[in-house]
Amino acid sequence: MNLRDLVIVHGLIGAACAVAVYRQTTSTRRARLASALVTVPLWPLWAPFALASRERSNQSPAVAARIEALLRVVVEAAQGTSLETVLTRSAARHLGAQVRRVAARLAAIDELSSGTGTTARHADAHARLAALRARHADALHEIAELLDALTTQLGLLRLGELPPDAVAETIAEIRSRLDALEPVSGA
Amino acid sequence: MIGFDASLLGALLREPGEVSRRCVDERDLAPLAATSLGTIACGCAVFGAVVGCFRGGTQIPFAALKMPVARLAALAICGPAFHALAAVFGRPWSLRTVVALGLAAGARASLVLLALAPVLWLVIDRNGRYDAVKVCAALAYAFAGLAALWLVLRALGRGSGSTITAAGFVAVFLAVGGQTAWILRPYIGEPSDAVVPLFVSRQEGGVADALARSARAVVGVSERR
Repeated sequence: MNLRDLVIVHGLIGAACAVAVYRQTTSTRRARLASALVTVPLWPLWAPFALASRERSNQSPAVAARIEALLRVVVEAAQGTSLETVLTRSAARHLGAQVRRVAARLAAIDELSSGTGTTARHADAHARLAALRARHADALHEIAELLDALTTQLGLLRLGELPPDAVAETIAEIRSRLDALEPVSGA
Repeated sequence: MIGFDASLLGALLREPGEVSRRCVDERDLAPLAATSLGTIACGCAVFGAVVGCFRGGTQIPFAALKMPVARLAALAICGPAFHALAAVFGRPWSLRTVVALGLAAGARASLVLLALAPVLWLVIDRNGRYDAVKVCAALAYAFAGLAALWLVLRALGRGSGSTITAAGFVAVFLAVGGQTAWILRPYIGEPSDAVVPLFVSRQEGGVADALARSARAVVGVSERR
């Protein structure tokens, strides 16, 4: 296959994607046409966004998925250590449920933020939503980082290079950060 | 659906952490992707036009067209590889997150190229030699690459596997981006060519070899053939 063949195949796939984009998106005719035209040459870069016209507001954000993956890693890493009885699958499930509640709240905030308005009251409400979102998103990112650090600490604990107390401190911090969000997320 | 959001340009330059977090959270990605695509197209086109100024004439629009094509083609090819690398090293991001991150990083790099275009123009205007212009353009690309890398590093965070993932991204993009740009050359046009071709068809060795030759020529080391 030479460069010309490659361009033809790329264009054909792009044309097919453009048809899908034009048919599936729900904006004005001109916007749909523009989106479809951009899709023809740029389908690998644009189609993933054009075909997902509504953001996945009802699904967990990627950071929540990362935390749940890290929780599984942490439980595995704790096996055979003195913290095996603390970092159980049941405890991980409980933490995972808390994370999902925070993620659901984030999605709800995003849904509210998508409304448009230009009055001062709208601006104030949007600023409050943005602050609330930042608080929840920051907390999730910090929890992900702490879980990452916890995995390393468990490795060091297994090697006898770190006392169990130090690892327990990290676990306590993760729990306290999630608990701090819990009253808000349960409201 | 498509909307160029100028306010995102400031965020790309001044708040790379916030932009990277937006990508990782999959929050409002369509406007970010659209703005990034537009920024890459415009930034690279302007830089390409400046590079083409060395020869002038048709080389200006040719280079202005080929630079964004090279950048966008490299990003399109690298997307799946970035997705796999991130997943392997503990970041199971969606393809949309990875593509958005690539586009945002590419847009940041394009803004840096746009900022450096006047410097390169000055070098050309002061009758800079062919090899000097080539090395200056490569240096501008290196600065732009560092700006893009900073955004990617913010997305990767400081957790385990971030360094190796970043190194993997850089290695893949350098190989793919370098080769894509190499296929679409010339951008400047060799002084020895009476007419600069749209594409080079002769065998000339690799990208690294050509850059090393130009660097040697700039510092005055004669070439052994």
